Amino acid sequence: MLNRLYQLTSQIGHVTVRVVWQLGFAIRFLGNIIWHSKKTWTKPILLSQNIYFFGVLSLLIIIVSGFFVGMVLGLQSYTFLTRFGSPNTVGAMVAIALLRELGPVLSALLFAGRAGSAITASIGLMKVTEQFDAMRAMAVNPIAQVIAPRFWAGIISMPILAALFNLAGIWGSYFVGVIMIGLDGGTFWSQILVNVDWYNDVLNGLVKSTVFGISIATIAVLKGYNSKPTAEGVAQATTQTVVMSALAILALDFILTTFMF
Amino acid sequence: MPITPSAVRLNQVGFSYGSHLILRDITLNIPQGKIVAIMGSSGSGKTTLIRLMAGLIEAKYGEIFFQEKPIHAASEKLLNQYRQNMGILFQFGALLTDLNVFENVAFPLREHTCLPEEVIRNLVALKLHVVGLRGTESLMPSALSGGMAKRVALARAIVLDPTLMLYDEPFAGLDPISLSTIAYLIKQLQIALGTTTIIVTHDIEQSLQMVDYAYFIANGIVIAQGTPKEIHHNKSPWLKQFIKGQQDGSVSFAYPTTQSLTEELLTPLC
Repeated sequence: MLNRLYQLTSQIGHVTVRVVWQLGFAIRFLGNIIWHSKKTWTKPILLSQNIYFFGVLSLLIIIVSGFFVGMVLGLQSYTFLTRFGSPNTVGAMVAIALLRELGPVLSALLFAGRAGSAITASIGLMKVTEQFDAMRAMAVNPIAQVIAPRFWAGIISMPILAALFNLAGIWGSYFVGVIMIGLDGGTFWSQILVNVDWYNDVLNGLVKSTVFGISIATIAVLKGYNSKPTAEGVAQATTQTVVMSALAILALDFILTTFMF
Repeated sequence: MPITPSAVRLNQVGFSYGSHLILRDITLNIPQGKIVAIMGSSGSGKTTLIRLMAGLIEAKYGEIFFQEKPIHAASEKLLNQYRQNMGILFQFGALLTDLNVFENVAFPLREHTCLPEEVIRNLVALKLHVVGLRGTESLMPSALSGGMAKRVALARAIVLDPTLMLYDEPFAGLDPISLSTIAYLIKQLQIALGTTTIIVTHDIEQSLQMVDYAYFIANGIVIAQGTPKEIHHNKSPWLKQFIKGQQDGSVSFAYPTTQSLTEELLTPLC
């Protein structure tokens, strides 16, 4: 009995030490990235290349998904709102749902799957092929050259992609509500204009997606940089990025929603 | 007899990965302008030595000097200054996969010089001409064969005209033509630029033809050293076995086990 208690205490101790150590490492790593970010801004080609690879190339999945989510939301809200005799508020309902919650969260989950995993894999593969060592041997800091531009590209891309997701979603609900069902187009847009608040809905959604962008970018670069330099290590790190990002997004969404609304 | 100043000097250096000791009390002296080979079996710590010399990893103990300047006690900023005088050819080239051949070779020039684009273009063309790969400028690393990638990496390593060149297994995985081309290039660079050259390899035949001096490493220590002539006359059983590639001798091919194969096969499974 005493022995089992001792083992349990020891295990809790080990886990606590490991979590604190990892948290400390992540904070130091984040500080290191920010410290070495000057090159990202003085050599804009580094940033623009990474925004293209991780932001622009995520456009298709974001816009298509946004459109379908908007269509589904449009259909569901039309069915429900008709019961209360207010089907004309479909646009407003979809817009608020997207701007406040679904837009930032779903686009962040998609971004974590598409771009977060790509960031981790690209960094991990560079480790496997000794590219970081080659850079250091050429007196070039890999954090400034590779990590920081990817980190900032993730943070910049996320709110823009979330905004485009929202836009595509609203157009999706327009397609269902106005073109398919035959609601009045003018009422659809005017309801959105009347009911959507700039500060409460748009700005808060933007803040959410920026916070999600920071968390995805941090997890993705950290996991890539920390991955074992083997094919198995990179695969493991990529999976961990997606899982951890998804959990972080959902947990942060709850915390932010508590404070915002 | 005048003493040649040393380009790289290691004094009682030790290195370990965790508790596993890789190198013990290694003392080497690489004179300036010479070609020196570091040889030994796989896993003997040869590549680790190169990484120690470039300051890519820290020694557990001991001192490392580059042109008599301490590497073991240098800051990253100072190390970066030293590294601009070093060129390293990694075993698999380590080309930057995001950049094409031209940008890979131009990379050190863009990072450390403010040369105009035209000069960079000319320098890259010259270095690619040296390695026989002019015309491949727009190719991405994924489109290159192993030998070509190594030659591009060599062009990149020499683009800043370093005073010290470190080659990690330059002959591994090359066809005979690429192998003799790389060997010829290494020798020509040393003659033309007076570059100190350190080659880490287990290709004895090729390297003993071109080096001025050789060190042999086994079990983490230097077990033999000398000029190629001295190496050929060395009576060490390990060295003889290694040079002749014999299976039987002081170095066992098999992984050490406590049970013989017969015992293992006759032991019933329970």
